[in-house]
Amino acid sequence: MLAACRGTEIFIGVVLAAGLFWTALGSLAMSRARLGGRGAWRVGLGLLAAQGPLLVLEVAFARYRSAAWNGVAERSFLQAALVALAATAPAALAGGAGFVCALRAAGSGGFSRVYPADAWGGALGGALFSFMLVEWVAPIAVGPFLAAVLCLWLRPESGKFRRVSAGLVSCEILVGLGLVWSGLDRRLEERRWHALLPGYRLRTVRDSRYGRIAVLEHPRTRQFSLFQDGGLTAVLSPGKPAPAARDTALFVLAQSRVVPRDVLLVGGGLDRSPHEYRRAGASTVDVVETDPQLLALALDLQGDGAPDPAVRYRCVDGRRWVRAAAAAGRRYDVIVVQPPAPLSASANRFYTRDFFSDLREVLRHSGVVVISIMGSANYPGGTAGRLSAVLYHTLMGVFPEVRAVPGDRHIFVAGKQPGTVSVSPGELGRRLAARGVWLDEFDPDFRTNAELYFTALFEGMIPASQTQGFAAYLRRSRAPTNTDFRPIAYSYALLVWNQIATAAPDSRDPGLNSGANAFFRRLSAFRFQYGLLLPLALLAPVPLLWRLRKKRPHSSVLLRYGVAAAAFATGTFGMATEILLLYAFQNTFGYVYGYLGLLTAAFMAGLALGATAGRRRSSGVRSPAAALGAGMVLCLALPVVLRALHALPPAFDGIGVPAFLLLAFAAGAIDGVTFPLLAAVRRRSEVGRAASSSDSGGAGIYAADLLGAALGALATGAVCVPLLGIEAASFLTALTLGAAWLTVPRGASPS
Amino acid sequence: MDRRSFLERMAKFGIGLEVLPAVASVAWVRDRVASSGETEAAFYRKLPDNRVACLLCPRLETLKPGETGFCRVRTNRGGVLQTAATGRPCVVNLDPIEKGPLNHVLPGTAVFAMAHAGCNLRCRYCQNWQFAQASPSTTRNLRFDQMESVRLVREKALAGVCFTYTEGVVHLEFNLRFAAAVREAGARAFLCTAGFVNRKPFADFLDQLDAVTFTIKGATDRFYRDVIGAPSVRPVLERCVQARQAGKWVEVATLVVPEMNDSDRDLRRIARWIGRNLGRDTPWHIERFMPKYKMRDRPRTPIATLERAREIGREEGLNFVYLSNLAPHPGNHTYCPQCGKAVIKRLGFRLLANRLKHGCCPYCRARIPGVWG
Repeated sequence: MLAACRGTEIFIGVVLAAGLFWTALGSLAMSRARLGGRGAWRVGLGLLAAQGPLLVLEVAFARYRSAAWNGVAERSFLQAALVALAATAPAALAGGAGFVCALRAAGSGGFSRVYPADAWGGALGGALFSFMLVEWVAPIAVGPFLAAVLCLWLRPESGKFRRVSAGLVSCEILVGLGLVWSGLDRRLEERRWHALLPGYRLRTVRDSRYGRIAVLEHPRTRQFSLFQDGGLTAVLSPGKPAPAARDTALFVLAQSRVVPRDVLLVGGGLDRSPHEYRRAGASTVDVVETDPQLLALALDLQGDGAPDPAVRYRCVDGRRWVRAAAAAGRRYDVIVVQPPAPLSASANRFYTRDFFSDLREVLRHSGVVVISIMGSANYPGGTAGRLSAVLYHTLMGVFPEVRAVPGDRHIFVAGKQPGTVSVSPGELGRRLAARGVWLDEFDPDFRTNAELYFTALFEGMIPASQTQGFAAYLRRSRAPTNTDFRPIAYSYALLVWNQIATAAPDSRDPGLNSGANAFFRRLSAFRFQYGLLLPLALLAPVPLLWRLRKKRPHSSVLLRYGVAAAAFATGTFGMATEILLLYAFQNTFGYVYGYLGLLTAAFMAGLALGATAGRRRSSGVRSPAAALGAGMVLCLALPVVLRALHALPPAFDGIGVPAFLLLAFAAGAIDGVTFPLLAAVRRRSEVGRAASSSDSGGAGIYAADLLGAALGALATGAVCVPLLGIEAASFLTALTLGAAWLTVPRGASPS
Repeated sequence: MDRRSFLERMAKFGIGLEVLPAVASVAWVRDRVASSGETEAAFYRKLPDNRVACLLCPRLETLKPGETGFCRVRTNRGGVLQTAATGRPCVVNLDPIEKGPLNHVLPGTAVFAMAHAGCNLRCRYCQNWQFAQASPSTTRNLRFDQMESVRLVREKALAGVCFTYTEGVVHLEFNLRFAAAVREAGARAFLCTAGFVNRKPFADFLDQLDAVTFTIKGATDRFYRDVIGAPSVRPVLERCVQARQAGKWVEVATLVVPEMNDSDRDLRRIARWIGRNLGRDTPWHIERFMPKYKMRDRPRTPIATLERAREIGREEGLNFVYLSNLAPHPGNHTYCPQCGKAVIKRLGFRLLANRLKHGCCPYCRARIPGVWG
């Protein structure tokens, strides 16, 4: 799902929320069914066996749907949500229903055993996915193999069941092997690319820790296009000139008043750009690319013969490289930053004030930084204009002088000293001509009048009228600063992307007011105080229920509401914390794709241990209020810890990943310990009622927890983090827990 | 009726008295705001039930009251078709005339390039989507003074005005008036259009134009349907011929999108049609596709494809085939069809050298067709 939907946090939130929503619905629906222990066993086994084919369908549907969307790679938020809802429905519904079956099959008191087992399953699944399946098995074949293992593990006692179970295991294994051998995954991928780029040949598909890489070949011209998670990353034409890269190199090097010696390219170095910088006069070019697999593929496809020793490729995260270079005393004359659009935390961190401050450290006295962003050459306003304004004001917060050139990609040039950068074609032409720069492909008639030639070249790149208009627009605009911990550019980029994706060909609306865009546009006015509505909503029914309890002292409705609210808040806390950690992980390390499963596994392991501890008297924690309090403390401490981890120098990388896993584990443990405690409180209110009522109560808590988790994933991923920042999102989560803490019944849980 | 229900009813009545006029006034204000700055459109027919039929473009839409046309510019306001393009352009620039592209008209001069928001096509690769795929009510529009603009054209010795970036025919009412004012002041008026317009309105517009660049976006109806959002290429071809027959200078541009309209067959079809219907001296601009709008994940056109298209154009007998969005390249220059020497040298849209003497080749004195002075 993530590979099909660009792998951004928004989609992590959307996919998780969709899955959790269906799981909640599945468990609620099954809690209404009248099933005995034996019947529950049968249905549970059937649902478990069905998970294999259902997961296959889920992956196939995600791939097919992404291909069939009018051949357009972009999906709007609403479309993505619909795909996520449709794709995750069968497996998640079955999962939710399976949980209640397990509950019934386990008999009385089974709740406190099933929940930890469910969590352990989650942890094991996450770890398996991270360490084995993502590398060894195509994602589409994962489902049947997992279902086979689980059916084998259940080992029913009755002979008849055992035979059925064995049959199911065999079927699952056969289906899994069939999927691996048939190459269905590859064919689905081919189908997807054929719909998006008909006529192009899919040359290779690879999974790396940074995302799914696809290489497409234009059959007649041997032009290769490299895609990462569906986004066009580089276009290579081996042995052919690259005029756009050349012009950019000339423009960038002309920005420096002195002859630039050392150039750093952060991203954008997969094509011929480094060689164009060398041709244009740079002595050395350091190219920093994050994904070694992508770089190896690009270099292999370029096949340029003998490598240029002055072009040095570094496979490391760009931000970490800049920090390391600053520590090592390395300095550059020109730094060119060409990250993808800030549609994910990992891309946004190259547009932040924090990163620009780091860049300033490694610039020489007369050095310049060049960065570009999507735009429109002739019109400065609109959604893309607002994004440009954010970048401009963020740069202005660090550099004394920033100039912008409008174009298909707006180019921003920032100088460490005032008076360095220029957007005058004449001035830039003079600088290059004075250095004696001249390239073979230029018109020899103008060799003796290079200044005129370069001026004409730059006049084409820097349209005077548009540049003046754009500068005036940027000066007048007011925009917030984009930082690592408040990635506002992410939200603005989302608006641009959603406008493009939403505008339907036959619609009168230009994509601004239809779909989720009207919602997103209004959302950009979201303030911290609006976030208080959730905790207030949790508290709102309490006075009413209090009055009701006074009238009917034997009613347990207040207690039940408190338990449900606490379960909801705990779910919100768990998923919000997980999203915050995923976000911060990307911020710190620059990727999350390969660690997504591991972080989830750590969270689920915490959940399992917490749940196990919660049902034992010896664990010390006896009141759900105490667990909620611990959650609040974690939420309040989280921003401080994340900032500390973020600021760690590269030498301390070894403790970064374990620290994140530990935080995920702690969040899971708090979530896990709360659950059985709430179940115990709820059971107390059910004393003397039928067993099915008790099950229904357990399923209700589970559903409330999952619904809270769905809301937490969506609100944190799509709203709170981009618009308010990590600190505010953590604080709001703490307040939500606080509201639940006020409503939850006090006192120790019964044994 | 007890006291409680009496009070309830009175409260509801009071709220009703307060709210209804407020709702009515909000609706009235909204309607007034929406229609402010609009003028009555030309080229429409009134129909029963306050419906109108827009006759501007081949879509021939019938609009109910309150409905806006496909172009997002023309709205039926109570049985009267109003246009929102009334001198509130969202873009005004001074551009080189070659950017049009117009390579055979006053080379090296600048034009007053302007555009209103809105378009009657839905090109999936729209290069100006931020305002072309928008309506005038959603863009940041400029205060525009016609007299001041005409004065600017004269003061800066501009070649004239060029209606470009978006589809100028959609904003025909205003553009017609402004073109007439500019021409009255002694300058010229140019139009860059996709040509998806009906004969009569275009004939009126042509009267006030000196040169037109048509974009023939593809060779087939299928391409127009799938990528451009128009039912057929036929009206476009008819308008090209109409402009030529009206004696206007015509140039043609085609954006070559890889694997969509770049087959030899399609390109040859366009080149052959131009040669046969507009004449072999009609300049044909082959433009390089850059990933944009809804086609941001399609790679840019390979240079080899563009060079092949240029070859095809020449094979089909076209004398002036240019490559755009690719510089420097020999395809940027104008060559004398007789002696083959470069008579105008360009670097992209920028003029490097104009060797023409009174519109003739300085080497063999062959006449080079165009508007040179």
